[in-house]
Amino acid sequence: MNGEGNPVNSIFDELYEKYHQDVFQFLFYMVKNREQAEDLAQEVYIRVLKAYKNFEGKSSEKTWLFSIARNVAIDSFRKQKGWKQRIIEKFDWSTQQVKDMNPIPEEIAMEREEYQYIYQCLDHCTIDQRIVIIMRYIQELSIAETAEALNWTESKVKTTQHRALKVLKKEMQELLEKEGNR
Amino acid sequence: MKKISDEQLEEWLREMPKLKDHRDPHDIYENISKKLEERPRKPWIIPSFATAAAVFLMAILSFNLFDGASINHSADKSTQEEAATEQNTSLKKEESTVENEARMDVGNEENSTEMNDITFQATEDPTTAIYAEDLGAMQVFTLAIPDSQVQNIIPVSFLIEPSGQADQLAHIEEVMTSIDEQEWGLDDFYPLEADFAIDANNSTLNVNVAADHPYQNGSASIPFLNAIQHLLLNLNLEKAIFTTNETEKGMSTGHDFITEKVVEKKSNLAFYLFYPSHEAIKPYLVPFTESYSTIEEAFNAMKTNVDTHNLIAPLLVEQISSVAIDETNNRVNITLNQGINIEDTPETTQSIEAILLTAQSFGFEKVKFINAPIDTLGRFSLQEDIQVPIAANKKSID
Repeated sequence: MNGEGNPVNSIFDELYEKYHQDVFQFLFYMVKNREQAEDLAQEVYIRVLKAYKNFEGKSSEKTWLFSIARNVAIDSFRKQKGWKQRIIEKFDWSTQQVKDMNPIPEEIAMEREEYQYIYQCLDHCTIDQRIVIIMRYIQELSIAETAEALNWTESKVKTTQHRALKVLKKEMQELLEKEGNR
Repeated sequence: MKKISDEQLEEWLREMPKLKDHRDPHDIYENISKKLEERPRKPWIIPSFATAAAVFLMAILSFNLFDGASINHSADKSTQEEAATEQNTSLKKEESTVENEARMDVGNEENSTEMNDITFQATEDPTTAIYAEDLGAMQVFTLAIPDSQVQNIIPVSFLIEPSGQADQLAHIEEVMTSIDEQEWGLDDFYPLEADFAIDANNSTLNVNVAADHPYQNGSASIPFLNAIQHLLLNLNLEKAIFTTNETEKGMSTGHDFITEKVVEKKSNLAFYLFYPSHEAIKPYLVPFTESYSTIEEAFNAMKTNVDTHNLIAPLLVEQISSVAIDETNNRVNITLNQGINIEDTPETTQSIEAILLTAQSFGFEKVKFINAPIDTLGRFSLQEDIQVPIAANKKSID
């Protein structure tokens, strides 16, 4: 892409190059819907580009971006739960139908079952737990980076991670047993 | 079935497939530059029209999808009605947003290019408490409502028309009957199974329960007594006297037998964020049971979640580098760490509220933030003195 001397454009180019797929993947695993993840990724850029001049380099660019992505995801959950969503849900055929609008992405559906189960079991985690699991394992951020992105202490990251793994393990076990009995 | 080991689970997690964005970066850039250029617009107009239109269409397509009773007769008539009501509510919402905007815009104007003036900013005011400017001629009263796990007692506040003590009690009892706590993600606790009468001469609230009343064990009697305390505070009474079956003195609370309770205002509390498991847009700001001798201690405690009670540490508290008390102005000066990033999100605004409510609980009137990297956060102007709220967790009653 060509910067054409436009500073916003060149910042975008750089951020896109370095982090786009990471941020997108984080959002996709968070909201589990490709279109929504695409929209939210754009929102991340808008917030970042508006705030870029305020970025003080206190945290790393990467963790800063993830912290914004996390806020964007959380805001979207909160907005979703607003009255608009409630009306939409009411007028849908059943909640089942709503769920079917977020099918397992092709990339995961083609893979071994365990990944599909994990993808489903993520729903049983709290939002914080899900964030930590995605950051730590799927995005491979370190404990320190995760703590920085979330503005948490490292011990809080560790505790949340521990709890999240416990939830996932329990749900996975149940799911595997159920599938095994079929 | 073999057990999954932690290692196995962690390995699977690390191997989770990569999910990629296949869009052309040019298209993404196009989309965001359009949004960046867009002037902030009245955020409700389009969604409300779209909703009205969607409601209309959905109604035509299949009116039996509505689970409300209003759409039973003629499809045509009812759709029109529905759309009309929808538009009405949107209009009301629009009005209130305009009001909110006006309030929030005061501080925002000068830095409209800053990050906190963002077109997709949540349209709803994220604050949860009642502030002096919300009060008008109304009066505040607070009910203590347990959360759905009966772990936390959440102070929920309402605005009512001012009235005399007796009327006020009638009003409060009416509210107790009409609220749907479960809809708010809380425990179905009210109305209380007790009769109340005010003895104004003795500044007393007489509380009568039946012999088989439901507050006879610890977990139920604590919120009950808490509710009574809030009633005393609301009604400005000094004590509650308990009777059973109208005639017998006192009431049993399981392990205890109480005859009277003197009003007691809990103060010096630390406020946390509590997200009910039920769908709710905003968290509740909830004081933990512990009292602290200084506000610094309270802030220190607020740096960590109270995991046993699902109370979440407010943001920003961890960034407090020092706290000073300005006694002349009854103000807390909070110095934040240099060079921090504050993002204008609902959670940040609510975290500020948690800090303000904590200050209020210690009897302070104002809070001043030093080193705040941005000028405004929601309705708060961070470069000026901020008045503490009047009461936590505002709810309206229709």
